[in-house]
Amino acid sequence: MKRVFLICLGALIASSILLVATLPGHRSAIPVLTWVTQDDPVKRATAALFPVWLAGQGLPPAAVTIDNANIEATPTGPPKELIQGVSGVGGDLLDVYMNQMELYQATGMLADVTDVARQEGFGPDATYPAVRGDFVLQGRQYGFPRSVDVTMCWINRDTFDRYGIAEPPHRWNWDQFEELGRRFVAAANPPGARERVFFINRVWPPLLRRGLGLSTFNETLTRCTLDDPRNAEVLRRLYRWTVVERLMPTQDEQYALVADASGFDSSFSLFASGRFGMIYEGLWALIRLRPRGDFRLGVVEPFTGGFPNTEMGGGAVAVYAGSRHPEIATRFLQFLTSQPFNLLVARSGDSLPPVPAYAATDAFLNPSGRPGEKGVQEAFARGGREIGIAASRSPFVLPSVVNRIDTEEIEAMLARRLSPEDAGRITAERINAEIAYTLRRDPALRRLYGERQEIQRRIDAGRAAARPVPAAWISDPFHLAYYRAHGWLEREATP
Amino acid sequence: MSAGTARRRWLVGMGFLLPNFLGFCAFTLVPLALSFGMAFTDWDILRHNIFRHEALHFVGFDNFTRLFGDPQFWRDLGNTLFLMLGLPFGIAGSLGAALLLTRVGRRRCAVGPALVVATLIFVASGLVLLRGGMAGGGLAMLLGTFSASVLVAGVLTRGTVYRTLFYLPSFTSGIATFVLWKNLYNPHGGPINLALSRLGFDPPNWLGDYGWAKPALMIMALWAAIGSNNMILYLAALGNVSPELYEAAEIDGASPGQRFWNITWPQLAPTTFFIVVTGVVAGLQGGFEMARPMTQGGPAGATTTLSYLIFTEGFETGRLAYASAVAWFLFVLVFILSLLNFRFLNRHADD
Repeated sequence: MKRVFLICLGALIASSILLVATLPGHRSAIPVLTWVTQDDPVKRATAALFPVWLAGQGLPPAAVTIDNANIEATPTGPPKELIQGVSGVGGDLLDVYMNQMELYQATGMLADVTDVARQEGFGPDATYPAVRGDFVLQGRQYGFPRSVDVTMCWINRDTFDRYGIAEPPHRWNWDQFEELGRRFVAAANPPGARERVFFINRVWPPLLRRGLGLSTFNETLTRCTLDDPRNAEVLRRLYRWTVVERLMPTQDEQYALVADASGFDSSFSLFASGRFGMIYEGLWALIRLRPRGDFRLGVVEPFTGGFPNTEMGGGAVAVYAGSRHPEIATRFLQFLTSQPFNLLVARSGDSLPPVPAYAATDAFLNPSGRPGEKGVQEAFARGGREIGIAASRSPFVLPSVVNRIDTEEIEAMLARRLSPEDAGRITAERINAEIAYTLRRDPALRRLYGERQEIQRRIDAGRAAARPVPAAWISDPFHLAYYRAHGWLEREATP
Repeated sequence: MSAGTARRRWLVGMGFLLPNFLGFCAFTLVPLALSFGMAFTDWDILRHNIFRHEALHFVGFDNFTRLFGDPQFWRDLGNTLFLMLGLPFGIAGSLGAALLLTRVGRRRCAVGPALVVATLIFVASGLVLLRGGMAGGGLAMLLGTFSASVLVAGVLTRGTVYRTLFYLPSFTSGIATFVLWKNLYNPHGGPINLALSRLGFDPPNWLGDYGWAKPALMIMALWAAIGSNNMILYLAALGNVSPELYEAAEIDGASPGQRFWNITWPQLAPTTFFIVVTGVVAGLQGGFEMARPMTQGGPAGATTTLSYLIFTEGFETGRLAYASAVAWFLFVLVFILSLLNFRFLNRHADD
């Protein structure tokens, strides 16, 4: 028995040594960066392109390896990446999605690249102004976007033709949506139909609120404002479209329609099979739709209640603060502004290239061999220029918490457990309670909160007196765009 | 044995124990002690980690005070207790399965009827194939053949095949069974709703409806419980019941029902007691692994349990101290309920 025990121990030790010896960093003579991201053709091509770019720049060689085992891109956030990060064993490069940036930055696990970005030309000015908030927090830069996405309404033209329904116009409002949607579902779901066909997969509630001039937070992001009567109006519409008219499934219904846990990928298969007439998604939907066949696709703006807007955000890459190769990892961010990388993104259809100039190239606007996609890229580029606004995220409460609370109360309203007014009130109360809880525990944030509250008082006073306010006072991206559109900003602050 | 030899044997024994003991210390004892201490601090992963070294503050019972004032906590506790209502059904199901399997094992002359049933299934499948064509008919044939094979194999092996099949949910990956049940519950075209529609019912949106989400998870848990370890425990316990007791009861003219209530049930009492205690513990701690892939805690928090709350607070918001407070509250709850079980149920088990 002792011999067996020793043999097992020896085998385990030998296996461990073998494992360590065969890790990418040990096998290679050059530094190997680990990039925690999804393993897809674009990422693989990006990883292959980086060493070529380094050589072209006359920089020391390095390689990138993709680690897709530790990414968990769900709407509720990625515990694995976070836990590994704060434990000191994160990847050199981390994919950081919109709702994760605040969380990761708050832990201190992301390297501050502000100064080197300014020197090397990959500062905030190198990309779209609307997405700066996705990687610049409280004036400091923590990454650079590898993709910039605008969310629009995709139309499966074949589905609309099948039911003899006219396609929506490029810019449309709630009433048009409701009217067209009602006719669509009536035509697509004859009595006794076994499987339900929906007009659209989902809408983003903040989009609807923004259409009425309401944001999740006030101008300085210090208070949740969803107890506003305009939110009740939005929720009433949402109820009508989801429960009464059945123009779209509930979120849980969508989860239930497919096998995967998040329901994330379901939209594409259901859109391709004609179960959804439209989907509200980003340009990256092309990556999911192309393998499903050739469609005749159209793209229109999301329907709004007055103020045209849509969701815009960047999928950023950040450097892990505990990286063993911080300089090379930072070079990777610089590489994201390069021509080869931006053309790669432009050709892939994954998103808008992070550097805006490449969205005007032929490589982006006219992808070869894709007649069904005619006009799609142009519509997204235009959407980004004209109506794209970043999500509102407060430094005083995590976006994932806001998202969870908002979703819960909307679901409770859809289940008729709450009136729209109560749902809005409770959402605001819960989010404001979370803000208060954070402030009680974090003295640094308390100082920032005090400063912002003072600014908010001045904004409120200025607006009450119908005076314009400086753009620098406004932290919420929606309010900034809204004030700008209505001429409420001081002249010197407008671009 | 000399002192040297004894010492050497002791050292060897300790050597064998050491890896396990170290593992226990590293992965159970130390984290347990840490989490207890953590529950009385303001430990937040955002401010207390290897990159941010803010001072940790002792906050006394603040986390517990917040817990009891949090409506979401009470909702999640309610959800946890509601889901536990399925526990008696699960126990009854596993006992029923064990009783059936024991009966199959005892029967010796059932091969003939089993072959007749199997032949009927083959013939029926053939007829369906002729009438429905290869698409539907082929599937019916496949299912029919499979059912007939299982039936015959079960009888020929005196229940071993049945036991294996009943135990299938226990050694199938949890996530695989959840995906299977998501498809079964699909409101548009899932087999359960199709069957209910054909029977004239208006089928619910199982996982998407606030009122149905919890029962849907309970039904799935019941299915898993029938063929669980509890069934194995009951099978073993049934095997230990003395046949003389049944023979004596038969001689006295006891009916099958009387035999069950007066012999089987009392003889199984210690096993049932063990199953109830472990079931209560597992029920209070459970729910997360089902709800995470199937409903993500929704709709409107209808399937968010205390274990789900611990996960959300610990890893979504990073409030490890608060999550620890919830975990320790859960421990106290488990402890009290286990004490009550021992106090009141153990008496019957001993009887």
